[in-house]
Amino acid sequence: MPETIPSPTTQTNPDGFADLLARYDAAVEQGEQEALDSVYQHLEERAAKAIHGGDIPDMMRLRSQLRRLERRATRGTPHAFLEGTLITFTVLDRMLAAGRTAAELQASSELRAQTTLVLRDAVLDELRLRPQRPADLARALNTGAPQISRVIRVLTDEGLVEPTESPDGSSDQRARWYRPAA
Amino acid sequence: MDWADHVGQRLRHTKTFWDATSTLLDVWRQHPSADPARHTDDPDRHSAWAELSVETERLLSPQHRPDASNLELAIGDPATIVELIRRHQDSLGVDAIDAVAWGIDVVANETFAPAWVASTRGCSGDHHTLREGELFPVADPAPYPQTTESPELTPRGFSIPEIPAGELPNIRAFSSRGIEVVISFEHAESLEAIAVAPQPIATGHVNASSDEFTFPHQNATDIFPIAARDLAKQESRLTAVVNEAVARGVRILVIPELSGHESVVATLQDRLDTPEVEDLLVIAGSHHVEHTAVRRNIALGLLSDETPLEHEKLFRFTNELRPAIREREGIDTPAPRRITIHQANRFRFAIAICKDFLEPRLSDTLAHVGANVICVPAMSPKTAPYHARALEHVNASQALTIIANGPTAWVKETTSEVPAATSHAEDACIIGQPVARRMLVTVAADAVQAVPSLNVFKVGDQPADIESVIINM
Repeated sequence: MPETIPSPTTQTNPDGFADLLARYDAAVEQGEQEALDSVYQHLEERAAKAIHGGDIPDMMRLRSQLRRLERRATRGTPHAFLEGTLITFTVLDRMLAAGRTAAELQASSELRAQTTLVLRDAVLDELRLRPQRPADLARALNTGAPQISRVIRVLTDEGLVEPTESPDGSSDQRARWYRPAA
Repeated sequence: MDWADHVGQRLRHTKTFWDATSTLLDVWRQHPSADPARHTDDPDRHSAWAELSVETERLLSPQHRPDASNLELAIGDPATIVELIRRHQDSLGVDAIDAVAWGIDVVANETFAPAWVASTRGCSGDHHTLREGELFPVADPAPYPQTTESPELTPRGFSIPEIPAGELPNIRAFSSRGIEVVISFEHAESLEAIAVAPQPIATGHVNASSDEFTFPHQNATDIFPIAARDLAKQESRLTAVVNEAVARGVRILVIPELSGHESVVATLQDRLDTPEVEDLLVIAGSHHVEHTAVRRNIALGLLSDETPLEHEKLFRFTNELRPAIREREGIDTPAPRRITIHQANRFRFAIAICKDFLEPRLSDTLAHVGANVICVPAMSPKTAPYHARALEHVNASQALTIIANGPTAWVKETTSEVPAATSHAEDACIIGQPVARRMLVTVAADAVQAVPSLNVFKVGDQPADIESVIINM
């Protein structure tokens, strides 16, 4: 005897995509351009909101939904009247992809700023002990030279740190030593 | 050589940050430095290299540019790159190029994968085979949204091996480990939506005992095809597991090796194509199949309204540790051995079946190409080695690894690997995740109280608990 398959107890699709998909399928089946336009309008509004809010998961969800709508429309013999709708989907998809990249750039820029902020006081404390080179600071603070260089640039711009002579008087042009600004 | 002039000529036709950075790297790789400044013991030379990379960050950040052109260089960017190199080439030599490339990598790596995908897709279509020495982007899986449900990712700089000279944190040069690598862009949108959301993942368990399978010997050594005895029951249970996963909003469901069947796939695909199912990847176990005298073990990854992802097992089971009784999985070894990486922006999905995941050549390949979502259907009475591999991939690529192992008990001598009349059970579910302090989460096989059932886990959740769900049939 085959076992009975239980039905799902809850529904997913919190944004009502299942309903949208059903409307879309019906519009494609019956060739209703107005209904298709209304589906597109709904997606466009959601896309604008997601891009404006930098909401990466929602932007990706929308791209996935657009692809799915496109695949459902083009199964079997593609309907000629869908051509315009599919072009608008492609344009919307490109906007979402660009929005995603912009949001990722923003997020990583903020992360770098946070890291710089965290290291800022530590670098100042180290330099108060004695003038040091970026490589010495990187070793002392267990981090990379680029991170230290980034912090020193910020501190120099703020006038809190300044370049100085090598403590042993050596004249290696490449060596850069820093100390707290007087 | 005047590196600035040389670079200026090479950059003439570059349009994107990806083009520019890979061109710089290419120039450096053709004329490598004997003592690369980024690794040198000379602290001042290293500092000069670091300062140039930070200066590059400041001048070339694409962050504030209009959204629509954020992959592209601004009109003056190539000239800026050339000028930066010109000002530092006397002190750093060819390593000035490396420093500038590193700086762009820091500020623009998010643009690499989309630009690379667009240009590669334009030339190769939806599938691209990596060539020896070819540069390709490997971005971090971050950013996950920073919520309490999302992973607490370790800083990449502390979690990965040293970046070799001639590569960058987010760009690698392909070198073969004897396995061909095909990058597929076909499912990019669906897979990215699945990966980027901090949602539940699950393993599904449909067989309680090895008794439920047949292990036919084709000859003295080869066992083929291994399959569930009662296919109708198997189909019911698999459908129930998928239904429960849908109801719980699961994003990735992995079912153990050989618990699928060719005849069940269409039923599961139909279920996934219904409107209420969205953003779910089902690794439908795997199944033995024979076509035109070629025997294979195939795992399919099902997505709504998509053609399935497909992986053919590359390394068959053998009992080489007990050579007195020779037994092996009776599949043919594919030639060449080939793995498909499903690229979805910064996520790179891979499927490995059971022993594939333990095989150093494939494991190294997955780490090298930066696979960071790895799904592993397994059928093994010994699971400890999987722990080590899952942790390696967290370290190498901040990978999320989902291993579903079944059946949950081995009750008699089905193969020589399992001694007769013993009950041998290790883990049914193993999750490797990039979360500090809880990188490995497991469920013992004997803790799976009934089938069909799901082990549901929210990636990054603290505490890292797995919810076991028994499905009443």
